[in-house]
Amino acid sequence: MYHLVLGYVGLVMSVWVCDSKVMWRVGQIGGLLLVVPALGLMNLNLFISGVSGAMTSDFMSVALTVLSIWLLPLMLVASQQHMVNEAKFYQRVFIGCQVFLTGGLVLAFLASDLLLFYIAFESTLLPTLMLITRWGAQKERYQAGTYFMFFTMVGSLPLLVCLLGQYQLSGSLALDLMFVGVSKGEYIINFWWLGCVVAFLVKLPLYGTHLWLPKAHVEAPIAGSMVLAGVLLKLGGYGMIRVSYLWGSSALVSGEVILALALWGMISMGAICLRQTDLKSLIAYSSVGHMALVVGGVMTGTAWGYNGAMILMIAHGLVSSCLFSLANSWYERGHTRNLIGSRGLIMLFPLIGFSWLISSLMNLALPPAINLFGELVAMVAVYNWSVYSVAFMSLGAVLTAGYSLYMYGMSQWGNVMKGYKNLYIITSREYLLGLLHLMPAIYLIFYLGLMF
Amino acid sequence: MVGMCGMLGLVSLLIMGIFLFDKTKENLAQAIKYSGFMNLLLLTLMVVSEENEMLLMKWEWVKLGGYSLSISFRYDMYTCSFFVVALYVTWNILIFSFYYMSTDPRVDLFCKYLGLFLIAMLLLVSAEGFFQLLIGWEGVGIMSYLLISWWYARSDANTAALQAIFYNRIGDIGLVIMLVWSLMNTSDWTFTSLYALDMFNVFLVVGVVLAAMGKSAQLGLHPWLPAAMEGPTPVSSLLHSSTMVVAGVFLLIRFSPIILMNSYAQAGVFLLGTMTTLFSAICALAQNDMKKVVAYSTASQLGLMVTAVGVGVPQLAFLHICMHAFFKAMLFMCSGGYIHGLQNEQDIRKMGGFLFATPITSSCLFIGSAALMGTPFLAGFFSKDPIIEAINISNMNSWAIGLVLVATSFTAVYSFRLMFMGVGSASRMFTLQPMNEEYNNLVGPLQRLCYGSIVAGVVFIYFLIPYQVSILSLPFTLKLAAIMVTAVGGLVSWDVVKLLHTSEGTVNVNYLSFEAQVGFYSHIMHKIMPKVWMTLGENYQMQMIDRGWAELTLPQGFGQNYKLLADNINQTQTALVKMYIAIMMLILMMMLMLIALS
Repeated sequence: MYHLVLGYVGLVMSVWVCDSKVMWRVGQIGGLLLVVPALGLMNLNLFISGVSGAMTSDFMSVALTVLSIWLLPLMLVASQQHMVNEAKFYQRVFIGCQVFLTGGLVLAFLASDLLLFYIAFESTLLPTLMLITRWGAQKERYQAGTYFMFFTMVGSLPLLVCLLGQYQLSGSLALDLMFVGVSKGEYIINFWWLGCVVAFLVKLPLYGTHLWLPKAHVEAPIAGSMVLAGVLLKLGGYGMIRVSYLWGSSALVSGEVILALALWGMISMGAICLRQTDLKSLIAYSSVGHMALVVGGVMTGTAWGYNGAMILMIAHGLVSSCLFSLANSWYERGHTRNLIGSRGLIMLFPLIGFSWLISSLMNLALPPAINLFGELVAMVAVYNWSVYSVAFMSLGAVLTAGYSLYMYGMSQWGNVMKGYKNLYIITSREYLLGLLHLMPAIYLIFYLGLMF
Repeated sequence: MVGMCGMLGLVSLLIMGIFLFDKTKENLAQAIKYSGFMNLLLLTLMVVSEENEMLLMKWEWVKLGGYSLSISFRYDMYTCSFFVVALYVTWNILIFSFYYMSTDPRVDLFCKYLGLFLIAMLLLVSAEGFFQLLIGWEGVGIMSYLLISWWYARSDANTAALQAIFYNRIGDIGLVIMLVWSLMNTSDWTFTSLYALDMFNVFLVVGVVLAAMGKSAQLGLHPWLPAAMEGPTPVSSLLHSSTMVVAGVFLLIRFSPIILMNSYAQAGVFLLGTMTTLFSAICALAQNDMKKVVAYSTASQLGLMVTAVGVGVPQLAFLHICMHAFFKAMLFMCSGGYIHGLQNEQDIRKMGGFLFATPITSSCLFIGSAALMGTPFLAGFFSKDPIIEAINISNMNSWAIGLVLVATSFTAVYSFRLMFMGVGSASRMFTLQPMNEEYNNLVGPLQRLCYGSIVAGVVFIYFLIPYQVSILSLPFTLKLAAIMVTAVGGLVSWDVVKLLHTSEGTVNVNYLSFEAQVGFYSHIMHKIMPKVWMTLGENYQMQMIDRGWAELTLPQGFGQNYKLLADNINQTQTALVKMYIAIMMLILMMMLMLIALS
């Protein structure tokens, strides 16, 4: 698995040294080529499909690794247009930043040691911060960057402390070991456990710690939004599954509080989304709503919950990234994210409307999309925990459908606002972008076994 | 032999799927037609061989621990009959939409949407596994969303589409409950294992009934059905009368063995149906929009079907689904023809005298209405009359039984009113309307559905008979109750028409506002519910928590406090050496004191 990480090191270097005419192509094609060795990690028969040195891959890490590797070329394809006017040097830095970010993500997903995971986890912060504050669109990007940085840091420092303490107790931070030396049933264990998961809860984010997310998503350039919604949030989910594996169900009492919070978050995020006027902000808030079910699934501590959370994360990674890229392709033309200003787009761009439709429908978990399957499986897990939770979850599903179709209807239907001049047509680059997002999502419907 | 023919059903689905990609819409219509006849063959074979059900094609989709979810099809009498009816009706509606949508530049896409809708519906009906059921269920919901808002530049259509999806989704809460429950309690998520479980569960039944309420527009979740009339008339004809809206009733029929285990559940379904049928019939009385009248009558008939499930005769409910499809699709087509002829005028007060302008459409309207009322030996009679008979002899709440009879008589009232205002009386339309029915694509489907409305009952009653032993000795009055109340309704309608439309001078119609404003339901609910959610979303979640408490206490609050702290510390940094020495001395003294004390 070192070859993957080395691949990213090589890719950063080649982007750095290559001729400035081809650097985008080098990044895109190189990123796409790296999907091949990642697919090679998939071994469906084994729980742990590969071990090498400090790296282990099992079914969870492979799925998310492939997702993050897959999204790198898409990010580069998506941001080609708005970087045209930048100086060549900054374009180079931009590409390098994203390649580095993806390399960090791959390292985080494949790490077999929690400390390595932690380091890789933190290493993704800086490139993301650069993406947001350097290439964001408005002045608010500085605040968004600060929020992003501080929320994540405040959450992840307790994790470091807990990990070091654990290392002292057990002498190892290998993922395959259960945490030993912690006598279960002690009161303090709840806090220790909380210290472990709070970093991930902020990252995911759980309702209440989500404040950074809408700001970061809205202010980030398209590549930043895509990677944030697509993979960075999943880092939280992945870490939480790992940590709850280790802890078992020993800390379920505080887990229940978090579960209840997530259930409430699902509904309140749906209600917020119904009132959004900003296209990107709507998609960002909908991510929080979807991730709430991931939290729910993981917090039940059951195999069904983990499975559901995994499927949901993969599905949401593809779909919300697609929605962001679609919103961006309109933003590059209309220069507005406002829903009132972006009405009747299907009249202007009929074919891309199809991508809008498919991704909105997947976002609301229309069967047979994998989103639905993930939701159902996670719902079963949470339903097992408490029967009454089904009321919250299904109400959340109603609201999800409501705002997804509200978004679709508002942006695609109605009359085009007067005053738009010189809207150039959708390029084949953007069709390709939609296709590359939706194809895996549709493919996975037929091969759902890939994610179990 | 029969198993082989069962594959015919699958093949027909496949053929339609292939023809969705065909460039010409005529080929799709042909494919649907031939699929219909293929399924007729299958149905005949099933009837002849007296085989009741079969399961086909088990394709394992995913394995999850001990669970295995597979795609398989269930072919029984319900599925086969519904396939035949739905394909026949859809074929005709597709042809009709060639006429109705001929000036629409996207007519090809429209036909494909209808075809896709049909496939989703057939998947739903033939589902053995619940996941497949869900695919069909949500598929028809989304297709109705897209089709209601077909003329997407109209904001009314957009709103109606969103309304439909919201009400359907509220119903889907129930479906999710059902799915989650059955995923936990059955090993392979199929009807077979659910029936084998033979267990009554409150969650399951409440979920199923809620789902049926949403999809079949039962009282409480009904307003989307009339609002959906914003869509093109072929859509109203296919989705919102003959196929999609009966999906909820069909779900109840599929789950009827479980619902009928418990008398409370049964009574609940029964009362739900009676209230819906009466409420919708009342609303239909005072509508002036031709499509709205037919839409409310659809809702009323759906209520009757649910009532039939509640009274314990799901077979008759299904029979009524089939019969209803023929004449209701035809009624919508008739109104589509009129609307086209009047240049998009739907108000029945501006119609009249069509008997002479469009004899074929008008006679079809007459036959369809007659079938709807349950005129003996037309299609509606064979399903409606036994249902009402079964209700009459059941030991249910007699007040509710009375309501059904009132609703039945109201059917006659609004049907006669519609016929009087549309077909009969003097012409009130604007002059020089291009009233014309010389289109093969209009008259052909109308005639074919008209034949269906006349003869389908005789054919279908032959094999769709209730399992229960029917009571042979019935009092004369109960036996004739349905026909008598219908006759009374017909008489009353004469007075209604006279009062509303032919009396001279002004009439006080204030007491009609309940009917005309459809029970004020949408006026109340459509103000309260959005307000609740929007206030929750914006005022509480967004302004108070996200931009209020959370932001001001966490990031901004910390920032402010650190700024204060820094300001205070800043005060001491005066760059005066005396000050620093003083502070150092102070600290030294304190340390010494501490050491001395300890």
